[in-house]
Amino acid sequence: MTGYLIRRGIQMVIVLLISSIAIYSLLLAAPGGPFSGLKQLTGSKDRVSDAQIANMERLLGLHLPPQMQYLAWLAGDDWMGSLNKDWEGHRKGVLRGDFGKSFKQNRPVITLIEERLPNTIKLMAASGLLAILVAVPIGVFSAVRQYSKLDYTFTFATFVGIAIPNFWFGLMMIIIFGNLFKSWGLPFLPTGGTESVRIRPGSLQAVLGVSPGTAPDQLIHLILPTLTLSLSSMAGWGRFVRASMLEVLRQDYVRTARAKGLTERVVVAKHALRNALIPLVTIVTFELPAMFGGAILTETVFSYPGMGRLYIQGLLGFDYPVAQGFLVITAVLVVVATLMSDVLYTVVDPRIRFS
Amino acid sequence: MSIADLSFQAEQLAAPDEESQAALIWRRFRRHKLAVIGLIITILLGLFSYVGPFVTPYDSTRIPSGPDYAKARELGRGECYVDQGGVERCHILGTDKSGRDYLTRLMEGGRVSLSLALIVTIVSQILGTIIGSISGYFGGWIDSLIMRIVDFILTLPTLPIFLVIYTLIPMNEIPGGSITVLAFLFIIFGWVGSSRLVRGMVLSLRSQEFTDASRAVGASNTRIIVRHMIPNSLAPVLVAATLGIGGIVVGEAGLSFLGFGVQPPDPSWGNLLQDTQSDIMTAPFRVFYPGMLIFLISLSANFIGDALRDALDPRLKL
Repeated sequence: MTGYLIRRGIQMVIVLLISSIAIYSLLLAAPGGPFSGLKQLTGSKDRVSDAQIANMERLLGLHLPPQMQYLAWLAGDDWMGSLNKDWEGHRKGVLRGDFGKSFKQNRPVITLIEERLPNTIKLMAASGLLAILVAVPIGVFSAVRQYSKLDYTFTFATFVGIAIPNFWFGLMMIIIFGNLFKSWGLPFLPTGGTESVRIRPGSLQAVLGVSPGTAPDQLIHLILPTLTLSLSSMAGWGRFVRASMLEVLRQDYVRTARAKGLTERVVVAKHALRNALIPLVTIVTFELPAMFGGAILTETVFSYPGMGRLYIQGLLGFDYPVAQGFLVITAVLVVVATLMSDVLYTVVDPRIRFS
Repeated sequence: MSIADLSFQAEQLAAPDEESQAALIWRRFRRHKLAVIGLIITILLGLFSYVGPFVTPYDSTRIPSGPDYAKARELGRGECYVDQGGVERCHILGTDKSGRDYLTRLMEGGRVSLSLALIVTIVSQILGTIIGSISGYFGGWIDSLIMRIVDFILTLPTLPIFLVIYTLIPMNEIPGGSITVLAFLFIIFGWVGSSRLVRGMVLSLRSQEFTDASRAVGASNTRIIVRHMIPNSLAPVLVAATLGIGGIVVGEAGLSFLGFGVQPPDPSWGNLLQDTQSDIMTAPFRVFYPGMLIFLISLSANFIGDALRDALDPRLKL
């Protein structure tokens, strides 16, 4: 086990190093240089003068050889002596949480990430939780009553959940629970942001007597984005639990449990379900990066200030340091989640050996 | 008896058998009521997207000029106006912000979305089948190299990577523009699934007796792959391809919705949703229709794929 973990750990570091090179190269791969996009922006607010761009290029160290730029970006320049007198050894590097400054906002990227990441984590945690809470009962009931009306209904529902474009489902939620509910005089739900500045009359918050900016208010803002983001995982995991449960229910020890005279309830809940849920742990872990990616669409639909929205704004505004920050976090998440799901897979199922 | 006679007889013998095979598949397929409904919906949407643009009197990208522009903009469902030439123009689903007929945009958008999905599916499945059969048939270092690449691509988070590649590509220098770029992106990430599938099939086919037999009569590796490995692994590929089509339509829609997909003025079901995001309050139906069509085609593809799996080979479980 220890040997396996050490080997996987080394692999992880290598993969991350290669990804970091790829992510840094983005800046250099941008056609016409990293600031060509900024030059194209002609809006009065965004306008950048040539002198400003020359200054930014100097501050970015574009005159240095690419490998030195990369090293400074990754590990900072304070340990390398005076590489670039504009930095004066002030850069700490990505390894120490310094992603550089945003081109457009003149703020450190890490500050932007610190603002946005908690929102995305909240959204993902809520969605993951909801998906599991719905998927497990659906899968179990479908499996226990295989080929019943209920099973067919749930199977149909999982098909719908997988086939529906999530962002469109989100837009429909906005139309129904935001607009139509409002026009029908029903308590309507907030359709954007993380909290309200003031409570609009007739909204769910007003009905429940929630004051703006409090935890319940934030929770209510999470409802629609969570539904939207969790939909496909809910369907996928539901199907997975059903299949896994069907397999377990056929096993000998389940028959033994029944033969002992245990009630069906105990057999299903205690003997079958526990074993059926084991593989779900690995699936859920493995899919975390996909959910992080999927959050891009959900956050856009609900103008939710999370990492995905930050990424899109970074790409659309040619703000490469911001995009790089997002990609570094994604790379770490993918590598960690893959390792974790592999390890969990072997931990929860002792029949699988490390190799 | 000449050889020609013999083969003629063989054909006669084989013909009814093949027919009954197709009939058998069709009979098994029809058992899935939802798949049959899905097939009908797919055909209808195909007609809508490919025949519709010829039937409609409107152009999908041309914006009415002069004084017509103001009159034609953002009409509601079924509203009409009289243009400069004194012709009354009615729009069943109204018009968009630029005064273009929305129904025509939906038809043309379907043509773009469905064509993209079809091309991507066909090319990536062919590519995946070839690569997968080479990988499985030859084994050894070729196999492990290909499978490492496949594993690597499978762990990549597709959406963030699509978005960043899309940003870096100089769109206007590429023939076909954004649609070509999208097709390439989907193909690069799309072949891995079927290559794994085919590799698995080939691994088991390779060790069967008919492979030894054909090798014994002196068939080359290429011939064995093309004549035996690939045809025998087509069924799961066909199923996976059908199941995958929905995903591509939905994926294209997501990218276009974010502004990283098919670029206007060309419509696609996804970028029609991008255009209408501000319509949520004023004209919700313009948000409803494109998404509903995407949903219908994707759901149908899933049902058809599911039924095909049972119909082609009841033992198949993906």
